[in-house]
Amino acid sequence: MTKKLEKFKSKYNGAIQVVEKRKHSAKKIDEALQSLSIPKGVTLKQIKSCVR
Amino acid sequence: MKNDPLPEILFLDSSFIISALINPVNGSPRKVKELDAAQTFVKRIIEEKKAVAFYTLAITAYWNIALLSELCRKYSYSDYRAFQSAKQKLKNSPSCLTDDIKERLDNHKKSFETIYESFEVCFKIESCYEIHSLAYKLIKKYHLESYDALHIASMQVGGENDFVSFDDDFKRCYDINLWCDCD
Repeated sequence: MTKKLEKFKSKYNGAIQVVEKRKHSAKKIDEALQSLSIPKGVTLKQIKSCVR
Repeated sequence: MKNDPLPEILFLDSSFIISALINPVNGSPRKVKELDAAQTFVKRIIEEKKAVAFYTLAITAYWNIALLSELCRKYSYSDYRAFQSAKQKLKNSPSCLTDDIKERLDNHKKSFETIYESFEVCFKIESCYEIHSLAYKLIKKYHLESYDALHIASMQVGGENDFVSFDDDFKRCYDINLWCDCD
């Protein structure tokens, strides 16, 4: 991790987790990137209102 | 999406993360364009080995969307009111959460993990006093909703300014560098 990232991390007083990096194939990333099917007609605004 | 050189660290909003994970098959042309832009941008961040951070609220948001989407699929809710119908179903009949839905949600969780584990460095920011106290100030400063203010506060506590979101409301944050353009 670079000095800048270490400095960034230190500003959160422990309320921060670093995710362990793992090697995933390009195919697996592609599949993950399109994994969620939402109903036709549902907009991003509606999605936003649903998480409130 | 901006084509500028990427900064060392970018903050991801819930709307961006969710957009990147949505299958664009049923979308309008604008939505398909947005989803494609989000997916291309995620790949760019991974390829250029940049760090990302997100407030843990994004995980809750993603779970809610995945759950509602699965309920819609199972009970054939398929119009613009689909999510409202799914929420009503959940409220009236919690037993609608059957094992097949749990299994599919588990797969969604793995997909989300695949993405954030693929970044060179990924920070998950948790709630803390500094974030919440700053969020209250930002609600007033930018006229933001509380959840939006928490995302911006979680970035600014770390002294950063590059925020990735498709949400128009963040355009009110005049002094942040917003990386997605919804127009």
